[in-house]
Amino acid sequence: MDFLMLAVQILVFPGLLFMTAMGVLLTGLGGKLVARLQNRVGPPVLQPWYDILKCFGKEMIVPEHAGRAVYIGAPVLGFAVLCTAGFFIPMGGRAVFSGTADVIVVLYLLTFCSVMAMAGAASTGSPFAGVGVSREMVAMISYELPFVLILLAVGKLAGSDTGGVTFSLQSIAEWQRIHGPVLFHWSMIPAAIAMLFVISCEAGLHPFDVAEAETEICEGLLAEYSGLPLAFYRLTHCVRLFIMTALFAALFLGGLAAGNDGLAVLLLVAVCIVLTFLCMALPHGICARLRVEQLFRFYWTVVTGLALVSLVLVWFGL
Amino acid sequence: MLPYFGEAIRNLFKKPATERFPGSAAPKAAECYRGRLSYDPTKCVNCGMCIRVCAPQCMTRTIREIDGETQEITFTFDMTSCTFCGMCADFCSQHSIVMTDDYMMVSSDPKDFLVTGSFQKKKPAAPKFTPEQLAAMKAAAEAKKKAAAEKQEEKV
Amino acid sequence: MFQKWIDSSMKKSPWIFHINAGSCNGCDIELVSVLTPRYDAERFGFRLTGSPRQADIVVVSGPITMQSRERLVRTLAQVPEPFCVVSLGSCPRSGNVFKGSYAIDGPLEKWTHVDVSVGGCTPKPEAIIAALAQAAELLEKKRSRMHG
Repeated sequence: MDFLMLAVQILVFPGLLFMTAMGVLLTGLGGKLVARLQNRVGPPVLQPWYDILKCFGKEMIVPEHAGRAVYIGAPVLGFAVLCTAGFFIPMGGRAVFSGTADVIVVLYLLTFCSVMAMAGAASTGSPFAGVGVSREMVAMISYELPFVLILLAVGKLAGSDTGGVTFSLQSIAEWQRIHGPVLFHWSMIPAAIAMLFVISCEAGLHPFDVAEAETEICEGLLAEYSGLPLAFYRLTHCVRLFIMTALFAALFLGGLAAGNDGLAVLLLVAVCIVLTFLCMALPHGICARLRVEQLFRFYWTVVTGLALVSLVLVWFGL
Repeated sequence: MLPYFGEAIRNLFKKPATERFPGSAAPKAAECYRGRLSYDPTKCVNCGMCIRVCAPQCMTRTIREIDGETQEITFTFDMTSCTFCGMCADFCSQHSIVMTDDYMMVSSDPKDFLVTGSFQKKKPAAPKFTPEQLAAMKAAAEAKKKAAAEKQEEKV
Repeated sequence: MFQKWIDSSMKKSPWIFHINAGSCNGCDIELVSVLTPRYDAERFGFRLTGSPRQADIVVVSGPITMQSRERLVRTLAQVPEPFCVVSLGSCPRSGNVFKGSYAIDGPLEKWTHVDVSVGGCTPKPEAIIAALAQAAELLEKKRSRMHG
């Protein structure tokens, strides 16, 4: 019975099916919002779903010099790893898995997903993909530092009762149930703003998508991808947006509607939609794509600064 | 960045500026737009001026004899070759070529891009002499002149 | 049923790859203007991609110049099936005013199949949207022919 329960949790809710559906819907909604911000009609909300389905129907071309196993395996493995990361994030009150240091596991799995994308791109041997890999690497270095600082700040605040730093999402949720959401503590507001930027870059959204710049470097990482692996990449993109927004909800807005699972899921969906508007639609609508060094400077000064302010404030018990 | 922010938020509550074209009728082209040309063979006098001024040589004229008296003249304008400069319409003294404002030239079939028209015309009167006869006459005149000149020389 | 889903989404998400085969830039600008808020081809799922590997519709503009001929053929060979070729404007079909030049090796039919062509020099964006929509319909037919 336990096994059956776990299987349902992994496959349906809050597992694969829920995450995929939410990812596709959020991305589609983001696209629609971007279009409305730019004063046009925009694609239908299900557009990412059509894109993914279409990619399944296209011929798959494997480049002559590419390692076949890495070329096809990397996107699939990346998607699987990303879903595994999603299992650790509490959705609607509970997560599939939980441990004492699942924040670090999530951080590691998200990084691993990016590394998989880079491995797949590097295996094609295309110079455009090579440039894309180096850009993705720079983007990763840019957002990883503020991301870790934010996690530390939240962990310190949630661990203040026990006097240490907690790395468990379960205990962060527990703390928020007692003391109210982290976002409502004024010292954490800079960290929350920094987290919005981290979501944008981590999910590869428009002004920060230097690695997949379609006009400059022929789609960068995806330059040689077509057919089935491309479909998995698109799926990974969609799901990553959902997982990052869900992580934001778990870190900063956990503990709302505790005890009522249905309401908690509804709240999660609402928070995700608001975050999609803030992280995906707004920057895309009003900003052109940043250059690589602009991105790096922005993240290591402004975003890291915001995260550091929160960390210092929390450390002094404010 | 801030003015763009305000503009973007305002756009969110505005009606989109998009033309709903496939779904509603195609909007009319601007005034004096030069689209697909129309050719009226009843007005044409077969002067050939349009063929002379056409830069991309998109016109072909075929002349087919029907009987001894009349001939059929066919003009074909290839719209995939046209630059829509409007020179042919300007030079057409009979206003037989007119540029319309129909810009919807979309097809999988190359034949849809051809504008053709044909008319019948009385054959021009046959020349009195064929070119060979004319040449012979000219040579004869030349010889006569030469002979006259030689005679003059002999006298001197 | 899954095949039917794929077929119908083929029509709803055609991605465009644009090849400039020596065009004067007129058609290129009009093609980009199709994606602006006024015409907004994105509401039908059209998207300009940067890589021929992800393209469904290849749009060719310009008379095929000697220099671009080899690149054109190589790029077209990299597009995965099923795909459509759209010729934009007068140039790819006939050479337009460049007809008969020593630097031109056209028309486009000599090098590939042309599914839909748009006339005009340059075509209006409405005509381009109509052509792309027609090409998208063809894509669905091609795809359903692929699996029989």
